[in-house]
Amino acid sequence: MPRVTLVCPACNFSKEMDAGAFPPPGTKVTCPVCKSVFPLQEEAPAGFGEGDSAPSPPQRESAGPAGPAARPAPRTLTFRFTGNAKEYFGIWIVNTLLRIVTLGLYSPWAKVRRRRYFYGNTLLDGAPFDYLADPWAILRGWLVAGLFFGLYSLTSRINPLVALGVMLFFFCVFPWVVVRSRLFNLRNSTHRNIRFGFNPDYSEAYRVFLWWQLLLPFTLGIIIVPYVLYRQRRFLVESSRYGTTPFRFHASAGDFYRIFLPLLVLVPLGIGAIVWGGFLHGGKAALAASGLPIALAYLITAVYIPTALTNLTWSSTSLGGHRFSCTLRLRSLIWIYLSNAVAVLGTLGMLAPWAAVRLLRYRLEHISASGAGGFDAILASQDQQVGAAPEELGDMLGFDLGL
Amino acid sequence: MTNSCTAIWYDGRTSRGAEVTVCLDGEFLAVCGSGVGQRYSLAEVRIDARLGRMRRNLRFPDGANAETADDPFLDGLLLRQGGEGISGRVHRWEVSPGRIAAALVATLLIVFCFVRYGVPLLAEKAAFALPAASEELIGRHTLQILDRVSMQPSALPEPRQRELTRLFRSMTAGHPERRAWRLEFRASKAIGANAFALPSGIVVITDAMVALAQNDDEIAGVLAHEVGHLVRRHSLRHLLQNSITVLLVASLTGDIASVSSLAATMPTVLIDAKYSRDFEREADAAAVNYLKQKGIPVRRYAEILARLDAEHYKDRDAAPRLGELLGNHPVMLERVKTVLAGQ
Repeated sequence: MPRVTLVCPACNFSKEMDAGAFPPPGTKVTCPVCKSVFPLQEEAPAGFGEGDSAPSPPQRESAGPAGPAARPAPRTLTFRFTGNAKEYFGIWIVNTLLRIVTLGLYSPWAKVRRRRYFYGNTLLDGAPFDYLADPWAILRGWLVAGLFFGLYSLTSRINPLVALGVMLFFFCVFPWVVVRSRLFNLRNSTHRNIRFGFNPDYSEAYRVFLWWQLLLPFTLGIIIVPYVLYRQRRFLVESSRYGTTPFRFHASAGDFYRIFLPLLVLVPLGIGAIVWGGFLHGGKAALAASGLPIALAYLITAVYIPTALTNLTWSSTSLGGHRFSCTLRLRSLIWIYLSNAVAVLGTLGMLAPWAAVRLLRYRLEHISASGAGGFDAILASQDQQVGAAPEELGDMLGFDLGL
Repeated sequence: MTNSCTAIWYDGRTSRGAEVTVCLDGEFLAVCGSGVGQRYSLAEVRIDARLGRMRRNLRFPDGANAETADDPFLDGLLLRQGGEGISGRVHRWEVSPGRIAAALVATLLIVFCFVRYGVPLLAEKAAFALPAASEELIGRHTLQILDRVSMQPSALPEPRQRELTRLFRSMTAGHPERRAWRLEFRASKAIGANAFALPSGIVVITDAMVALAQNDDEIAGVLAHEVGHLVRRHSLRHLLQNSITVLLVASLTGDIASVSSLAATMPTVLIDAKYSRDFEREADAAAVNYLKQKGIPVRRYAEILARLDAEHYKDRDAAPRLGELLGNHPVMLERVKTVLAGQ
């Protein structure tokens, strides 16, 4: 009986088993180590022939990305940023000037140019990304958003009740906007000439961005915030794909709660400091005592939580046989934010391009992907061969909110 | 011009790249490499214009790409297709140090001129176009906030308040649009001796200010100054100017992290000081005008300005305040001189 090796696409755990005992292709199996669920590939048993005496055929083109063919040695792929501040300054200043002289109408073109520069200089395993959005589609999206905003400010002056209605309407379409904008951005991002994509699962979007959000005021916010964030991140990651290969998310709600754990200690401590300063010392001491917790609270909400969430989200994401890892350091980020702010402030905004490049470079150089092989066996998604009509519609509605 | 280049070929169906050679053959591009052999009409191939030093793509009609760093070859192809297009021209501005400097100077000049001349004009137009209801709302809210944060009810005796209100009324009488204007009395340790005008015709005078005046002619000068602010809607314009400027600066430098873009709006404080000086000058002129009409010596107004200045200097530590460094304060002496010159 030939033996086959079964490899988990997420964590690369492998297990040998008899080919006869192999379940039919398409069966969903659960990895005993990382608990991720993945379907067995059509050609899996044949392709797994490591235990087979026959040499395995060159599989990597035909096997799906999740199909772990003859396993190359695991290696780490790094992101690299090849742009520099000097070059970007030229792009930035010309963009700015053109935006001014066209009264802002050039903005979509400026945005696409900036993104193309940043994407094109971001290399993963030596291959750049590309941003293909059509500036006209962005302009249309902006006009829709502008129309909506104008409507809101107009109605708010006439009748606050109508304005409330508009606000409520926005609240209700928000999940839809999240999905459309994600769809637009991913569909226009490519790597190795394969587009990224997003599966627009609206019911889940409404569940995580509206239903759970609505629950927040009714429960003691802090108790379910980590859970809601977990659901939102999981939704955004798992609905994304590269070509046909879906991204997978391996974090648990517990991991998100762990991020908020320091708050359990810090919040009572801060309140205590204010109360202590206010009641016992009064006057200036109270001011000084309350200043510290406020600064700390800012640091936590603006830097610590987003950084920890980014680290967790990336480190819990896998694509095909690759697991990402993100190791941003809080100390370094605080330093970059502060020194960037000082530099931009001190030069009347002239160092803004330098600050942007510096931050991006730091972020990219702390993300990596490790796993077997490279990202060179990803299949393009079939839905691109379908007519352009849905794409056009998506583009028209796909205004970008910079989420 | 070279006739071929090496490139990495991505067929658009899998992410696998292959090394190929792209050759120009008359009006066709031939792509050949291991397992790849394609021919495309040059007219159908889209070629990226330059952007930075990025590797560029040949984009073929069937969805395939060839990525290459051979810029001269691609530039030659673009020329054959009939020029590099707008983005090619934009690129030349982006890389030439001279043109970057020119763009920088032009940008700074436009922003400066707009903030210096355009924003005040815009704010003035907007301030006079704003519906009375909105202005009233802003005025009332501002007063409420000030009451809560830094002002207490006035301790001035009732008859004195009535006297001063009568003086204020004499300035608003005869103008239908000034009917709703009112004088408010407040005490405030934080503000000290001062008077100021809020949107929708509210003038606030502090008890310390009333005490500082040696006669009612001086107070008439101060009130006429505030009425001058009201007539020209200075406080509303000030508010609008600041909002527009902050919005503008934030939107121009806004493609970066929020902390930095917020910081970038800080230099507007400098511009703000300039605005306030212009407004003070206008209101002073209105006060001088009023006093001359009433036959009150303009000296009186100059005297209370000078005394106000001395008062502010008296109860303050040696270190100058931020406002003075930015040119808000030293102007007082100049103001006194201007007022005296207007005699």
